[in-house]
Amino acid sequence: MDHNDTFRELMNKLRAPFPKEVQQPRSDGHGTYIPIAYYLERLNEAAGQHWSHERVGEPVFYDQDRLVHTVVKVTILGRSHHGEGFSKYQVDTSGKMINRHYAIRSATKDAIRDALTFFGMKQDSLSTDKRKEVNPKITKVDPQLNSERTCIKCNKELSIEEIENLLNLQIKFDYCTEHLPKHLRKKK
Amino acid sequence: MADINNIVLSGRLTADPELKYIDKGQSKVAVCRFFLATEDPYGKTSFIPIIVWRNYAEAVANYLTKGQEATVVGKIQSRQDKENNRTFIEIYANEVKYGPKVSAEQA
Repeated sequence: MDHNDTFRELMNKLRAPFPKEVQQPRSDGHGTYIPIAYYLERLNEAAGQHWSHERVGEPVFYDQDRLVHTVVKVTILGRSHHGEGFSKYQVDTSGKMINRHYAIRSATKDAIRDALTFFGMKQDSLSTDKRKEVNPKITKVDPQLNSERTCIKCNKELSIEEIENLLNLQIKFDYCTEHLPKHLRKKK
Repeated sequence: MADINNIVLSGRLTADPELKYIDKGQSKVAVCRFFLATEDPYGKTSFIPIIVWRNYAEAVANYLTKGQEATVVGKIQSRQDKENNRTFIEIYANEVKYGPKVSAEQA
């Protein structure tokens, strides 16, 4: 098998439709999205050591919009694409940025996702029928706006999945999975 | 024989309940605190501090919201702040009945 065949086979694996469970409806009610964690999981499974990413240049901060912008180069089997990512950052009452590194990290992940769309790995590869099967009751979390929520009990930073779980269970306070009170978990 | 210390209050929450965890030995215990605005027959409003403990605190803090009606059954208790030498009188709730929530129009 030559290099092109390997690349084609790898792309087929990456472009395969995601299972419907991983899709999250957007909070604005328009469409769905797939969290970056699922992209990375598939990349690591399918491409393993054959993929890498690097940030190109320094992050750019747009004070007016409170946005950070990064450019990331993703390379899979020697072929590269650039992606652009954005993330909102937060400021305190004096206007000082309080989550710089989280915002940069979040924008970088967004940029990786953007770069992967150029490889054809995107949500559009889902069939229409599968999209219709998405549970509309599941709430989506904007990962860029929830990057520094911590567990009220242990101060551990919450993952996107944990935040989505809290929203779906209609729990107001932030708990990690370990400390989520049993009596607040609703039976499905 | 123990003295009588029972209290029943109804009113509306002045703000969303606060929930925090305090260290008790090896574990952390949930404490929920909120204020209930109760109006007497003469129109005077009192703001009564309510404390709820443990698992019930987590539930109460999660389900009650600002402006919501609530009925509290519990006991009145005093607490001394040693640093400031101040005494606080609070209601320790055993039961909290959730009333209607304030509508979006009223809020």
